[in-house]
Amino acid sequence: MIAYVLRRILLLVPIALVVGTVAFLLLHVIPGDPAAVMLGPEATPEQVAALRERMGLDEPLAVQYPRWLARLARLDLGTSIFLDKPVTEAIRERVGPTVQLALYALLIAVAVGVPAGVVAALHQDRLLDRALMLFAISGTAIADFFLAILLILLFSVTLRWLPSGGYVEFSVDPVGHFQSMLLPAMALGLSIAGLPARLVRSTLLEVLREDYIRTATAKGLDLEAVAFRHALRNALLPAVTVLGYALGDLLGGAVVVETVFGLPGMGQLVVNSIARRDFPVIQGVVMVFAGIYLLCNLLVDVLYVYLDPRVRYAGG
Amino acid sequence: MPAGRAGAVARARLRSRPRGWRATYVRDRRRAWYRVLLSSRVAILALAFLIGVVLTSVLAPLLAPADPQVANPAVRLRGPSAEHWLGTDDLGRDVLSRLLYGGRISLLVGTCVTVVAVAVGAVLGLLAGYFTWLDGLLMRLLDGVMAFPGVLLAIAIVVGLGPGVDTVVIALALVYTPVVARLIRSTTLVIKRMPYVEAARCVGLSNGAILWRYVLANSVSPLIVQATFIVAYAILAEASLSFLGASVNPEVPTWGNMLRDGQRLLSRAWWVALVPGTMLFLTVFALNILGDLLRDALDPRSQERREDAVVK
Repeated sequence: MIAYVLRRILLLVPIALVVGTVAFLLLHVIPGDPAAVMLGPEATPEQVAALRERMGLDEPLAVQYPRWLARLARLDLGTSIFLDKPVTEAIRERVGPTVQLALYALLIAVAVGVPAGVVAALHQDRLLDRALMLFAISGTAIADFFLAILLILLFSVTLRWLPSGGYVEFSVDPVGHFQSMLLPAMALGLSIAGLPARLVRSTLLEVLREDYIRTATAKGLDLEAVAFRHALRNALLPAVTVLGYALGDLLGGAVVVETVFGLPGMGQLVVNSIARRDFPVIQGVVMVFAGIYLLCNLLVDVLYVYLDPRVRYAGG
Repeated sequence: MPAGRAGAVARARLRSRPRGWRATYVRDRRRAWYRVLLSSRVAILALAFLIGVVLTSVLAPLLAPADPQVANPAVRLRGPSAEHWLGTDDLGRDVLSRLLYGGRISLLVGTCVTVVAVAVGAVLGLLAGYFTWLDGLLMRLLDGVMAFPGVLLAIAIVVGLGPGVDTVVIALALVYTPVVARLIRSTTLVIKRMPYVEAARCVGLSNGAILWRYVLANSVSPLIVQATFIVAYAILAEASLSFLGASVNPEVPTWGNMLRDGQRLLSRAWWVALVPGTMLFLTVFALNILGDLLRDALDPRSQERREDAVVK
């Protein structure tokens, strides 16, 4: 087990190198002078030259690239052009609401998706199954930000139950915090809940055909007890891995949904940086999310082996 | 669904074993896949809807009642009426016309992204799956690209290269290429151990011929299914980019930037957001359904036990 974890961590090194290299290339695919592009047409040549100097863009790529990697290794993501502070600081100020939103959404997705999948599998091909799966496919087809808009239209504009935007710190007002996060988390969570629902359903149906399930039913246990006590445990694993994969989308989705509700998270940071072409910030956000994704996937993989001893990791 | 790869990845994984390679010899004894597909009323409906979207988008210049970009302050925020079937926005622009033109961007981006991702991804997947010495390197590269959240990576590229259909296509193709490559790699790993590949090698066929005639040819079914889902999720991703203002030139109407305008006007003119959002949903939904039914039609085993054939 420990050897496995160590090997997984070692495997992360080349991937992290690729991530750093792609992020480096992102800046250097900018056609023309990146400094001039970032500052826009109003900038004076002196300003452009100063920025180029500050970012070390004058040096040959063979010098810039190792320097970039060395900086990354020290978790230094450079300086924002417009905010005039280190990118890591700008991100640290904004990361809270985004990660909270992604976590709440994950909770909602699991709380809705897994039971829905189980119920659908137990009612295979009957009306309830079809209705649930229709919802699941609708969820995977609706844009998260459109679902957010629909929820605002229903719960804020029409019913006036929940705020359509704004953010309340948990430490300031826990009730207000959940009120402000409920709609965004629902929008993101429900839009992704179809994935675990469909996966739990299809793996559960497969597991229910296994011999040990037949044994359990032959013993006289009723189907529902078997499904929950024996089958679900084995059917959950694929759903867990897919949610691990979906995490990247969840974080990206959190960025989009956040902007709908005006939460002061990474989304706002990204949108502002798009308009200002503040490239170091976008580069930094992208890398931070890639890092979170890699760590979470490591966690999911380790969890997988821990939960299912049959999975013995073999290379690749 | 949040835009990104999870949808496309998961849908192809619903059945975990590589599909397709058995199809070649089993299919002859069964109905042709398109007959299976067209025997489903839902599939015909989805196809008809998609053909309708394609036609109305292609013919938008002929069909649109007004110029999608011209503001007309006299008719600001009008609800749906005989004159403006789907109402107008806060600048008095005709929502129906903008919807039709917006479809062009969505479909163009969706198709181009899929073509590029399938072409590049299939080549990379074949190489990684067939040549063991390349596998480690290629897969680590793809894992690195996969680590970036799809939308955010695309945003970074569009901001770097500047707005435009071409940059959006490049950005999203980069996002979806690893999905295709992984799929084809896994089918290649199975197919290259098949007796008929061994036979082909014994007869003296070159690696290139084997890859093209046997490995790729037998991967076509799963590839088509995956491609359908990539069209769907690329359309969704483009809408997200447009919504955030990192897609084509903001003057050009797209479903995503119409939704952005619509959100601002939600309490005064619900139709401005609801119209493009519903259209986006229906298009992605139809593509999803079609992908599911295609998978069932192309996979002879699922005709026997269709446990996740949801709609029939």
